[in-house]
Amino acid sequence: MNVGELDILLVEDNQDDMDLALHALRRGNLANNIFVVRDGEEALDFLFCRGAYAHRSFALPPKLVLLDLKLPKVDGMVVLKQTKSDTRTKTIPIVIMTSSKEERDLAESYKLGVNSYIQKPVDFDQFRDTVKSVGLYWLVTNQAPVTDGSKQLAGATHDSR
Amino acid sequence: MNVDMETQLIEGERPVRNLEKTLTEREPATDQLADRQSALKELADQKFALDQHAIVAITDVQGTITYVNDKFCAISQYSREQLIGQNHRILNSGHHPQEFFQQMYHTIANGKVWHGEIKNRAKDGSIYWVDTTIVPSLTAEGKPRQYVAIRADITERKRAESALKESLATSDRALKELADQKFALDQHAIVAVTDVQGTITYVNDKFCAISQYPKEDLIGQNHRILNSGHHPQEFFQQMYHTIANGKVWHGEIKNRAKDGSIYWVDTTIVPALSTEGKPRQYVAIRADITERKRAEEALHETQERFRLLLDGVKDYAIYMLDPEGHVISWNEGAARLKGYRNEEILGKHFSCFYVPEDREADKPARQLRESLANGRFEEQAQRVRKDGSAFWANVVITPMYDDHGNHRGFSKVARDITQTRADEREIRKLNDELERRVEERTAQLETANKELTDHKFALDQHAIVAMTDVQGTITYVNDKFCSVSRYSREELIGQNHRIMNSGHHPREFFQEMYETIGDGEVWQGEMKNRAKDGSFYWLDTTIVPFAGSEGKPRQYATIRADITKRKQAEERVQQRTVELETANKELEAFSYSVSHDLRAPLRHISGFSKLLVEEFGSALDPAAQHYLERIQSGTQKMGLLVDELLNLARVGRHVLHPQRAGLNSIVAEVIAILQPDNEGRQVQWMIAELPEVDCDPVLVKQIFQNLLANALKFTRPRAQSVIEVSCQKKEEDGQPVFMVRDNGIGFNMKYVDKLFGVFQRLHRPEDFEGTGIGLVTVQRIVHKHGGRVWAEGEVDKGAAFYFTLGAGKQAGSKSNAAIAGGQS
Repeated sequence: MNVGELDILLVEDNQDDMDLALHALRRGNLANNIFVVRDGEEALDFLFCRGAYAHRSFALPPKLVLLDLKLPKVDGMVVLKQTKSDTRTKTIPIVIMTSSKEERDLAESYKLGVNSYIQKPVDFDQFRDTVKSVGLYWLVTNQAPVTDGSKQLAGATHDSR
Repeated sequence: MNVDMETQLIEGERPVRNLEKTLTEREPATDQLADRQSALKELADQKFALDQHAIVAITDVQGTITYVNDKFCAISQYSREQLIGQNHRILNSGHHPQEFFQQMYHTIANGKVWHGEIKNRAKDGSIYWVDTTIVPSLTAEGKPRQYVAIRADITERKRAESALKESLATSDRALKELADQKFALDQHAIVAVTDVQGTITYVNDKFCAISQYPKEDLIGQNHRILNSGHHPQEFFQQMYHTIANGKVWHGEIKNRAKDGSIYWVDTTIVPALSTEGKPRQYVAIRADITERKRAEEALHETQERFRLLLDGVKDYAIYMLDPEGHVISWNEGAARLKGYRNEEILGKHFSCFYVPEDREADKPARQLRESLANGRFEEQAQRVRKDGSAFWANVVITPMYDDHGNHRGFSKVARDITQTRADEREIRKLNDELERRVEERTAQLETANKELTDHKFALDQHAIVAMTDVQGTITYVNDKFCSVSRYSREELIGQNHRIMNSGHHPREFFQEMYETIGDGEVWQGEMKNRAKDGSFYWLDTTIVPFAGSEGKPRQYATIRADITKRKQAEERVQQRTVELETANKELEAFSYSVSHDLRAPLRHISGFSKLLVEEFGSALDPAAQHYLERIQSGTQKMGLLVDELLNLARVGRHVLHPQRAGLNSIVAEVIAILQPDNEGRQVQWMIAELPEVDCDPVLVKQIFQNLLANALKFTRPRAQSVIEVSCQKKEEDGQPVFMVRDNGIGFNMKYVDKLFGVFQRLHRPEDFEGTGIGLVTVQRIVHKHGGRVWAEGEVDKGAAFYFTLGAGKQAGSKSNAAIAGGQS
């Protein structure tokens, strides 16, 4: 993997969901730079550039994190909370993609600063459309806070406070 | 060796006879013979001596008697002829067990000497004991040939032994009895023993209890330790004199306990005498009579006080008359008032106090009769002193009776009112005026009092009422108090209110209560009490303090209402609430995991079957493709079902947020949402003016969403769908009833009960899609609002759904109307 050109971090423990999501992204031509982690702990290691991902740099964050809520080891809500409460990672766009549409999960996610909350539709066509439009929106339509370079990142981080 | 001797002895019988014969015949004797003769002589002597002292018998090995001596016959009372040839068993008394004789026969059959004591029966049935030695005579082979039994009469000794045993048993019994008596005495009496100097050598527990000294403090002390100082020296001198002379003393003694408190004991001191008749020690048995003494002292004190009181009364002449009217006692006041000295007046007739006219009119005797007849006589009249001067007196004559009701005379109380009478005239004037005013006031008071009595009656009927003094001692309770607490009035009056304490409330609860009422303020609260039978009851309690003269509470009135039932209901509600909360939490957890875990595999089935069609569709034959489509639609239906079930559960958990909402805007919103479903259809919406109501708009929107979606769905076969939403006011309470009616396919009223059941559907899924959850959701929302929902329908003529929002009562009966649910 080219560490400089990561587009999407997919946090998904379920092999089926992972395959379907990757399929949908591929169909939308969004699968070029996807990295998959399988639990909350690994997601945090990745985002905070530590452990197995110590070689990564905060200067090159993923352009989008697709985060499931029910995860082994560390819950998705905790990943969201830690990421959004650290100045080094809080600007990374996080979209929760989950089966649940429990009101409390919704409310809690937005309180913690999630950028978008999506319930995975049961129908695969709808699912595929949803994943594709989310990917397109965050990677193409939306202007990311940082395009490249650590200097700009530092400035943006401070500005956003 | 003994055996040998005995054998020779017995065998020697015949030789002895021969010897006598030989001696008589004086046959010449050799030296050897002489020796033998001398030996035989000795044997004969011994046998003689034996016969004199012993009871001798010989039996063969079968026990058949072959020889008895005279003493045997004498003691057994059988003649020799009766005995010889008999078995020895003839004498068996039956006293000894079989083993006894078996052991005996075993011993002698083995050639050994047996010794023992045997109880035999004589011919006349009388019993005798013999000390018995049985010696077997052996044959050359060492086998018993015969048995020689030598016995001594031990009947007397045995009798003495048994008498001794008997007397030992008797004395044991006596000792036991004595111990029992001592125990009983210790239980009931205060017992002490002293030596002749009065030094205590024994005390029982009751003695320690009453004197409060431990046993160790008393033993070795002189009995004076308990002296209260009450009795004069002579009292004890007389006592010691009596007991020192060996006589029993009885009396009542006032003692002092260790803590200085006083107790009275009824005392009997019994001197235990030595053999010389001198007292050896004294046993004192006492009974506690403190209570009686206290009562006596109190009585005595009262009497004494009364006597002093009478003498102290200077302004009243108080004196007693015998039944005929003679003065028999006289107080100082009487002496002062009448001018007679005690000795002058005693015995005189009381008529001397009357003025001459009254005397002549026989007033004294008449007044006594009147007093006797009415129980009292009173007058204000003139009386004369010893010196003849007259004065005005107020006189009361009261007859007196003894305990048996016999007339014993009269008491007379007289007071000089000369001065008073002058004042009285003035006072009377004032009084008349006062009395008039009092009468007015009394009338008012009577009315008020009557009202108060009515109130009290009403209060007693409905409330639990008690009065206590400031210490909490109950002074009054009404009937309801008794019935609720299960105590009788007698059990409650005089008791502290604490006896009803259930232990439920912490100490602070009562502290706060006592502080409040102690400050003279009314206290109100709910209290849990314990009834006499241990059951609990709750009281709504109001305590009202009544202030005394210094403003401090004098007593408390407590008025209560029994709220046990309410409290129990509250407790049940609380318990149910906890249970419900638990159930709710479980349900929430359940639906949370359903929403996660049930949807995920559906998504996977849907996704992969779709991918199969897309990527390998060309390789699959049409039937396989069709099956994959069926899988698709199955997963979609399942997804819908899960969503709607979750929604139903969410509605159940949803906490109502009622607010004023206009229903027309809600209906319009729903119609807009449903618009995509009726593309290309002719739908006529007939929406009437709907009121604003208090409801939860989020939920009410769901009602219309379900009902209107149903209406659209079931009018699909119609060229033009007509869907009507209206509202009518109910006749009885003006509550709005909402209606959603369509011209669709309707339903058969016999299935109306199924409409509101989960998963209940009246149509085949091919005809009309649906999960069977929509109307259940409607019903749940309506019930949450305290309303009702029902439906009317006819096949092919359309359906109408009615609902109310609010605590609706039963709707008026409508023909063809089905009532679903009821109160939730």
